[in-house]
Amino acid sequence: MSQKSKHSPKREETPSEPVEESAEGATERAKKVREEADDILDKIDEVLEKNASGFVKSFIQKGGE
Amino acid sequence: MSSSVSSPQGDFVSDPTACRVAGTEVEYGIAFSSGEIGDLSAQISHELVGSLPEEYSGGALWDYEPEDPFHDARGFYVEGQRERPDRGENRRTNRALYNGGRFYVDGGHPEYSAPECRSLRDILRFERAGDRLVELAMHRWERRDPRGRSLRVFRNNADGFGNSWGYHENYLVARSLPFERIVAGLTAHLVSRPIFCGAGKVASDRGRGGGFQISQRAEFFEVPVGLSTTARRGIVNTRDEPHSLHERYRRLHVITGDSNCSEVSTALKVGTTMLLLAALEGSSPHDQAAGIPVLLDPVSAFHAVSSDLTLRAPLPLSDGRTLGVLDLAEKVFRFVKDFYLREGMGPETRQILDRWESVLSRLGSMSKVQGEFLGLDREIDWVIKKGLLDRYAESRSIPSGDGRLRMIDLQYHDIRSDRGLFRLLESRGEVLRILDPQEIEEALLSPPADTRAYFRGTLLRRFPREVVAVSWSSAVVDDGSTSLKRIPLEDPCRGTQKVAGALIERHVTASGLLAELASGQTPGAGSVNGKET
Repeated sequence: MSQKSKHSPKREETPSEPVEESAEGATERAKKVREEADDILDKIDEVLEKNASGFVKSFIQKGGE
Repeated sequence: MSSSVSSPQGDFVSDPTACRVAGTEVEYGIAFSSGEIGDLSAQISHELVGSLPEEYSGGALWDYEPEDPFHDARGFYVEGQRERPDRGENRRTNRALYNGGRFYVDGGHPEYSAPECRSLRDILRFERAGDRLVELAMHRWERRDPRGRSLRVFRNNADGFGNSWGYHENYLVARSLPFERIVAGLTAHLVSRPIFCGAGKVASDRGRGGGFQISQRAEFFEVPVGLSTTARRGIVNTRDEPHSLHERYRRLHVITGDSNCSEVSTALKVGTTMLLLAALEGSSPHDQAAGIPVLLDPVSAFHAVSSDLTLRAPLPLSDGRTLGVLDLAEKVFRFVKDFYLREGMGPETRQILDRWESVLSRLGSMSKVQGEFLGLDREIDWVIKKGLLDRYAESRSIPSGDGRLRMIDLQYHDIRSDRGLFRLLESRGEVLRILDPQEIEEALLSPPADTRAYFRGTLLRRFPREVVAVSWSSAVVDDGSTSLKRIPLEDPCRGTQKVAGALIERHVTASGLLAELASGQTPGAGSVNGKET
């Protein structure tokens, strides 16, 4: 399950992690994740609320529960 | 992991006859696309409930009659106004769901209560089904809004301005376990577990400073034990409303938790707490006292755990020693593991213990070597979120107070499948999943098979005109006579598909089913006493 990404190049295998997934599936996915590692930040820019500063200043909830 | 948490039998206790039931509640933050909602929060929440597509719920009301939230587990009764809305208000506020759960308005927020579940896998998928139902309601609201507005809905717990809303866990616990032992045994766990189930937030809501918090909720707690969920919140909540057989069970209401997005964090939050409670039930007071440390000041410790990203803050114990949070969490784990090594365990228990041990061990390593995540940045919410924020801030060269970082924090919890940031990470394989998406979709319509939620949800869906109201512990049927009939569903482990499935199936009317119940043969749905309402 461990794949190397830019921000943690030294990540090691964690064999204690039980991840049920076919070997081909895991390899395929790891490859894809590597390719998209930077891409995710661009994607965040794309979907992030455009008026981020205004939004977080206006986001006031009456308490619940 | 996809099958490792699964257990078709739900056999995670040593005693196979034990009825171990839990359910979770998610309260949602809500805003227009500007971020504002103001005084419209309650109105929009009601409209959201009213926008749920009809295929997921019929016209039944919520039966408030059996509800009584003012019993305190410490043995007294608190003054309070019991909720008894009129018919119109009841309908505006509630949807009794075919999946056995409830979608409603509480405290001006939309809220989803998942049905009672017996396996951890069901806990996970029915909680996520709630997000999907709310998302469907939200899209329908937007399509129907004459002003063309759009909504934002977040499964989080704080707004950054000192307001908090809840995520509540409910555990059925044997009443034979004294409440004082629950307080003594559970507090260390509730204080320490944010290290694996904190949702994280960029800053304190209460001006405590220090930046990132591991838990969204910790700093809103002010007393060790208390009844209120809105003011002077207590780490151990004392509400004693079992929705069940009062003499046999209590429903422990846990209000300290964060609304997790990560399935792994949710699984650990609920799974570890469930096992600990079972271990407390099965252990002697002496074993408990020897195994589980007692904190000198649980409230301060809870706050300290949340703001200490190094996981090293010393936490004073009542015996004069101090422990770090990792050691404290390790003690709780060891107590539970030793109990199950003695008593025996089923596969689900083993899987929870394995995952728990693995995460604690990796958190220990992470605290020693900076920059080493050991996979936790794919599993644990606060680590995932912190990593994402750091990567974003670094690559975009933006300062810590920038609104975009706070927005990333919020939007991590956005429930939209295509714009929620956690959902985005998930769809790209950047975080570990436990469930198959298909299992979640099935949970929108079909109740859990192995609790009374099966009876409730199936009855609602099969007899939408005759079942006029339900609650956690009742179903009210209009059989055409002069009085309504209330079917008590007091035992959460009865009314299962195995016991009641064929009965519901062979009747074409609820009245027919009621007649068979009244004739003597109960379906495991509890006794039927024909009580009139």
